[in-house]
Formats: sequence, C-alpha cells, structure tokens
Amino acid sequence: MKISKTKTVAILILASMLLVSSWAYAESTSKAKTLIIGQVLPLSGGAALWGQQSALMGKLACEMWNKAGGVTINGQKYIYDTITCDSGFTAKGGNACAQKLVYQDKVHFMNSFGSTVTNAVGEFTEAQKILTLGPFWSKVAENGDYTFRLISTPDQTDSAAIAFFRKKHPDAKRIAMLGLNDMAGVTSMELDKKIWLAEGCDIVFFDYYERDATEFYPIVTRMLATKPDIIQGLSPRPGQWGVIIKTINELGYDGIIAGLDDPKTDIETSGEFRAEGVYGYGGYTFYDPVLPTWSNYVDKICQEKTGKPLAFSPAGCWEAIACLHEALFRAQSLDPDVLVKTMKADDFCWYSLYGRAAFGGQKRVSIMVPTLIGQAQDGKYVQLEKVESEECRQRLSSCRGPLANYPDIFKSK
Amino acid sequence: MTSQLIFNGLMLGAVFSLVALGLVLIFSVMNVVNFAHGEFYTMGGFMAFFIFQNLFVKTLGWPHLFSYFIVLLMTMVLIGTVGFVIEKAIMSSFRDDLLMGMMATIALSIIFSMGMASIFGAGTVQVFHPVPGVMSVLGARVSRGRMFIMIMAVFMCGVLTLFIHKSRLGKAMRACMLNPEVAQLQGINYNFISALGFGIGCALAAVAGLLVVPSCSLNPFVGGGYLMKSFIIVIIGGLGSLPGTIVAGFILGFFESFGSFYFGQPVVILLSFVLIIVMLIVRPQGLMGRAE
Repeated sequence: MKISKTKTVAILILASMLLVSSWAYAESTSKAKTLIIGQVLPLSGGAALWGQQSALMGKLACEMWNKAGGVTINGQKYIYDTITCDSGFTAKGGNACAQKLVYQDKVHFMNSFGSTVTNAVGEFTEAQKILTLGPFWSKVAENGDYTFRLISTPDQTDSAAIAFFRKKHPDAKRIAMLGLNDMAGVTSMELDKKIWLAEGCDIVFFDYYERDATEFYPIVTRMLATKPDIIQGLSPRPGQWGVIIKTINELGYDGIIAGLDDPKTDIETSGEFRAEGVYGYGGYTFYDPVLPTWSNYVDKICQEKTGKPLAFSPAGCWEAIACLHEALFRAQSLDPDVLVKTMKADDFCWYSLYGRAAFGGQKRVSIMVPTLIGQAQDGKYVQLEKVESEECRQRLSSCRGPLANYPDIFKSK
Repeated sequence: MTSQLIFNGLMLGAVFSLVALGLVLIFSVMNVVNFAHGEFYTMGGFMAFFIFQNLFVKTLGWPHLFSYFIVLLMTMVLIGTVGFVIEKAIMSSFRDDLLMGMMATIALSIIFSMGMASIFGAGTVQVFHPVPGVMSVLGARVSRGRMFIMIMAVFMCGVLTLFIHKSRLGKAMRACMLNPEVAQLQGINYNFISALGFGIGCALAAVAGLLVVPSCSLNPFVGGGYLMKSFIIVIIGGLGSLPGTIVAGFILGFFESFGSFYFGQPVVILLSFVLIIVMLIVRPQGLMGRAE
C-alpha cells in the first residue's frame, strides 16, 4: 500500500500535535499542587458499606474535578486527592484518625462521617482551623466555626415527613418510636418526639436498641404490646431497619410503619415481606431519574463498585468535594476563614447530587435539600412527595451560579 | 403475651446455646479463647447466601429444604476442615497459652472479617428461609423459620452431646479436656484431638450462622454481636461445661425476652454484665463448671 506525501505529512503533524499536547498536559499536571482531603470513615463494623461507599465517593469526586482541570487559585493550579482512615464508627477511632490525618499527614481539609465521630474529629479540626465537611448530624457544626454538614438533618426532614403522615393518616395518634442508641439516634428521637406531641399525638412507646443488635423479637414484642398506630424507626444502620420490619411483620403488626433509611437494602433485608407499604423520608435514591444526570452517573458507578445503590449518607462525601471546589474557586484562597465566609454568603451555591444546593439553618452550616417522602410498593421504592422548605427556596433564589468549572456531565442537565 | 415471651426466650436461647457451644468446646480442649468465633458464624452465613440461595435454589432450582440440608452438611465439613487446618497451621503453637492464643485469634478475626468485606463487599444481604411463613402456637406468633432454627439448634446440641459422651473420639476429647497430659499417657493423640475440637467448634459456629442468618441479615461483621453474647453464656454456664453452656444459653434467652419486655433492651444489656460480675464473685466456676 502506497501512502501519498500529503498524507504522510498530515499524519506526522497530527502525531506531533498529540505529542505536544500530551507533553503540555503532563507539564501542567506536574506543576499542579495537590490539596489533600482527609477522610474519616467507618470502613469496618456494621456500617462498613457506608464507609466503602463514602471512600469511593470521595475518590470519584476528586477524579471528576481533576479531569475537569482541578481548581486554579490566583494562577496556581490545584488538584484533589484523599487519604482515608477507618474510624470504626466510634469516637475513639475518630479521635485516632483525626490525630493521624491532622498531624502526620497534614491534610488541608477533612471529610468526616457520622455524628459521634465528627464530634471527636472536631476537637482537632476546629483548633487547627481545618475546614471539615461531611455527612453527620453532630452539633459540632453549630458550635464550631469550620465544620459544615452535607446531609439534611432531622429538623429539616422529619417535620415535613410527620406533617405528611398526619395528613395521610389523620386518625393515627398512637406513636411508637424505636431508635438506634447513638448520638444521631438520640438527637432525632428527642426532636421527633416533640414534633409528634405538638401534632397532638401520644407517644406510647419510646426506646432504643444497640448498634450491633441482630435480634429484635424482644423489643418489638414490647413495642407491639402498646398497640401503636404508627411505628417510626430512626437512625438505623444499612439494612438493620429491614430486619426490624421483618420482625414487626412476623409478630403480626399491620399498621403504619415509617423509617426506610436505605430503601433498597431495607427492602431486601425485610425478606419475604419486602417492606410493603413502609414509608421512607430521610433517604434519597440517586438512581431516580428525577434527580440530575450526574447523580444517576455517580449512583451507577457506586452500584458497579459496591454492588449497592448509593445510600443517602455516603453521598455527603461526594458532596463535600463538590462544595469545597466551588468555595475554593469563589474565595480564590486557601485561608479557612475566607472559605467559611464564602460558603456562608448569600450568593453561595454549588451543583450537588440533588441539583443546586446552598447552606442554611442555624449559623448557615447545613445543606438545604428538599425532603422526599417515599414508600415501598411491590418491592420497589416509589417517591410520593417532594417537600421544599421556605428557607431552602429562599436560599436558592438568592444564590448566584454555580460559578466554578464543572465536569462535562454537569452540562447535560 | 406470656406465651409469646416464652417462645421468644426459647428461640433466642436455642440460638445462643448453639453459637456458644463451639466457643466452649475450643476452650475446653485447647485452653484458647477463640475471638474469631464470630467470623466462623459469618462464614456459615455466607455459605447460606452463596451456596444455598444463589447456587442451589436460584441457579439450579433445587427444592429449598433439600438444598438447605445439603448446605448444612457441606458447611459442617468445609468449615470444620478450615478450622482443623487453622489449628494445625497456626493455633497449635498457642495451646494452653491463653494470652498469645487470644492475640492470635483477635488477629484471625480481623483478617477474616476484613477479608470477607473485601471479597464479598461490606453490604448487608438477605438470605431467604428454607421454611417461610408464620404460624400461631398457643397464642404466640412464631415464624416457621424461627421454629426451624429452634428445632435444629436443639438437634445439633443433642448430636454434640451424644458425640462427646458416647463416641470414642468424644471420650478422647473429654479426656483431653480433663487433663491433656494424662490423656496422652493413655495413648490419645492430643494434637489430633485438639485440631478436631477446634474444627468442630468452628463448624458449630458456622452452622449457627447458616441457621440464624435467614432470620436476621448478613454482612461481614455480623458475627461480632454473637461473640459477646457467647462470652456471657460461657461465664454463666461455666468455662468448659457443655451442659452448662446449653442451660446458660436458655437462661440468657429468657432473660433477654422477659427483661426487654419489662425493662427495655438497654437495661437488659446492662443487667447481663451485672450478672457476669455477680457470677464471677459468687460462683466464678459458673453454674456447672468445675472449681479449680
């Protein structure tokens, strides 16, 4: 086969262009500095699935923004990377991880999972002015200056959900509440108790179960003896509420149940009952086509790598990097005080997995996200209603942007 | 309500006894506290998930109950062999060395749980019951699956008791439990008996996992919760006493059932540990253990 002179020249030019561009890319990447995000996650124990998903989300978010060019601050290019530490979902583990990441690894930012853990992490990060973002309900966000929460809190979601249940089941007044005996469980149980009482309901059962509990017959027998109209479950671990639903069903309860937190896993673990008719309100299903394309993409990756759909809490670890990227771009500074001011500003928002998102709530440290109420129907989780708070609407209407560079997938919707 | 609480107690007691039996057996023969016991329970659960549910029933379409019994036998042989090999390869160095044995089994526990999380993923999965449905017995609602667990657990305890008391190997095992040196002088191969005891202990934990997992759920860390309960049972029943373990398992089952109903679960957990302290002060050898 003969190749003409023109073709040979064209191929040579193309090849040299490719060579130059790849050299230029390598050059630009080599000049980029790396911002390290320390991740304190539950990689062992009953919440390990959430830890694995969170680690994946942090890594994926870094890859997505690094591919999009990272962030340039005052002419200096930065890319993102993570260092992950296993907290075991305990304060002790969180404390050890924080010490390692802050003093040994000298991370620039922190991504912390879980309330008890973030309380422990906060002792170090607040003192060292290390911006900490992540999925937790800990009060360290309100009490500190450098901690931001990236999942909606019970005070955002539960009042909307309880109002929905009251409207849907006006005669149901006897409420049984069963929560996980940890900081998040206690916080949400106490808060929801007040909301139910304000709605004119009676709390006929109010109790906690332990983290590693696998047997629920005794506690459910006790709960059902109070003849509740509605059973509400709070703050379980992945799949744990499904087992409780199974026990409730085996013991013959046919009333209203609310509490799917990790809907797909809970439906699976509820066995042959498939959690039929059970409501959920805290969690999102990111494979839902009503959410942005990038949410579906992130969920797809998560399902491929962990075998399970992305749960609501681990999504906060992806969110942490998305939010941080926008804040760094806008602030054009690595100074934590400047970043905090930027994130709390009226016009700050970013592209989250829920669409545009901003911070609100007390001291403006909580992500504002609409509450989705859903129900298990025929073994699948179906969204029933979307409730957006007035504050959420206001915050998003005053926001400008997002302004930073985003990966291509964000342009699709 | 009382009948429901009694059935709850019986169901819990049967499960607790079965899980704890393996732990006691290993301690009795080797003088080693097996902290990896919970992981063998989890392995049994994964046998139920992969072999019974996914392979035999879903892929090959075999009948549920038949498949389940086949997997039960497979689990006993496979996990028992794994236990036997582990004892020979690793644990034989730590016989009668309580502290080092403890450290070694803690290491094994971490290796197994993290290994299972890496291979199978950390997600929680569900295994369906070989006998689905719910039945009413004397006014109590009991799932058929739980009833099946209870019957199987009692059967397994019976088989083990018969094996220990009637078979030649069982008698050799009892001799080693009483005094390994004298047993060896009588011509008993202590090395073999020790590995056999470890293997049977591991197999019992795995069978417990296989039986219980369909009623609960399964993830690589699920065995840890049962390990703590097993320790409580062993202390109450008496270290080294197999009948004591069975009795203590049912005592704890009833204690949890009635206690959780009248006082709540956190109080019961607290009281379980108070019970341990009282037991250690008043009767350190446990209900049916031998005093030093």
